Amino acid sequence: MLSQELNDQLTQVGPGTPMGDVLRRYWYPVAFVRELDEWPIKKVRLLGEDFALWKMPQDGPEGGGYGIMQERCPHRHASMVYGVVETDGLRCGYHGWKFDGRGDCVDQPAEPADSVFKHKIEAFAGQARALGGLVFAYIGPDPAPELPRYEAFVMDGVRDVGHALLPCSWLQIMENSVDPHHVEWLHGRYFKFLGEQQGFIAPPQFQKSHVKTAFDAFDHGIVKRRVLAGQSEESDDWKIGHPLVFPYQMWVGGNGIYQMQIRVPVDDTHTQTYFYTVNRPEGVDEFPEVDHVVDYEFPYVDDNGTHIVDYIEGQDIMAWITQGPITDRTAEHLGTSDTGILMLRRMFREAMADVADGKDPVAVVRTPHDVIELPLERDKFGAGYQFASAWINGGSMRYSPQKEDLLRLHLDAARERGELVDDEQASLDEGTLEQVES
Amino acid sequence: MHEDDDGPGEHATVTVRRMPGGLGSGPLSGGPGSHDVWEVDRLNHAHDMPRFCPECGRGIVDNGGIATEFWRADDRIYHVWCRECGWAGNISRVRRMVGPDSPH
Repeated sequence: MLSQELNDQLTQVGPGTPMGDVLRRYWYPVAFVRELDEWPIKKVRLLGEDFALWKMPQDGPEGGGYGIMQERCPHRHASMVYGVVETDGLRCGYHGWKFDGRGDCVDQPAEPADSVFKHKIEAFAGQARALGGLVFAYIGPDPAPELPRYEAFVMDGVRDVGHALLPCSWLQIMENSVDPHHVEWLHGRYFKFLGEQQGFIAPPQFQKSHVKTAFDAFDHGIVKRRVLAGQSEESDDWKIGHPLVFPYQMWVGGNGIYQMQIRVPVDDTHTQTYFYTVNRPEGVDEFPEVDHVVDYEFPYVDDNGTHIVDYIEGQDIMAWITQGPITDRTAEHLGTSDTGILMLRRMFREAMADVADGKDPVAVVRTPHDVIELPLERDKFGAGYQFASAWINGGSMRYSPQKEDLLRLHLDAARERGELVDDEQASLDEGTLEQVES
Repeated sequence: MHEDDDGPGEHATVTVRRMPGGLGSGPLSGGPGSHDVWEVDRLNHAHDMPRFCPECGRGIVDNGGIATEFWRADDRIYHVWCRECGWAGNISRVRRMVGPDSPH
């Protein structure tokens, strides 16, 4: 339980707010490379502000890079999203004022040729760069930190990115990431109940009860650990765990699936989620080169507006959204199983203090690097191919246009490794393949 | 913590009233059913929330720290972090001294 004042400070992300000042120290994915290749300008809403993101021409001074500036033209506030991309900047479609990648006004075609008015005009501009098929933006104070090259964004494998815009605060989604116990209930007992009612078998891996949990702060956030029934402290789930990557991501996976769960704060009550998955089963080293990552929007409500809860992410999303646009923490009742949430809130307050004191908060990266590796269980929940299959069939990847290819990738690799594959599950997955191929 | 004042009571039936001033900027819009059932918990939270750091004596929330309440059985516990001195720990109001009940 928190006071209203604290709940406000932890959930308000706009400019000039304590949390907004913290969040503006990080890079955020705001588009797919594919989108800007298809049309070079995109409207972006991030941390309660609106921007125009554009791709610069290859023959321009920035050589095919990306720019991001305030959406409204400083002239008379028309949207720059409906502008013209030129070699040296983005030109407003209304009267032709042009801005370079730094936000400097470089042309005002209707003003006299000898006018210096343009030198008085500057738009807000951030920075934008591509990584791992995504375009990341930074809209905070200079100097910008390094764009963290987390393992997910640079490792080899078959990429698959499901995404959805959710009508709730990003913070309650992040609190879910330090709440291990929800797995055995929301994805275990509740999933099993649905299966009993609707005639399917829910993944048994998620039904194991938690014996104990632990949370450790590290350079990039919080490592979450658990011991499940039947496990010991020698299990990967305890010895290695997996992290909440401060302030808006979670790195999770196992058995050949690696997933960065990304929750971009669009504004106080909207969050853009990406389930950024890299499929790289053990024993497979070569993967086809692709121009763009596979991306798709997945549904979380049906035509009646009822939550779709027969898959993992749909269950999470139901819980996140039904808490309310901003959950009322003045009326919550935390227990001892909510220790991770206490820790995360404290970490955010520590970050606010760091920023107020002129220091970088946790997980701001200043050192150039090739890759940042994060702790992650490999043998998760003590299951092999069965786990990968359950993740694909029972998660948002079931909506992927390449779902059958992903199942085939993991199944072939398991057989190549000599893994004892559950016959029933394999035949179900292969049955899906046969249906598609016919 | 306010040893001379019992506060609104742990589980008493209370009339909904305004939260003490200075603790919130918005209305007491609650979660499902919160107005009637949980109002007493909200009032207890506001009443008992530690204001000052037990280490350095300076303000906690007002100076950028945090006090989050959680429950362990009947105990209400505040997890506190003081920005001023860095002290972190749990604070719980003790209403009755209970010793261990060893096997005998």
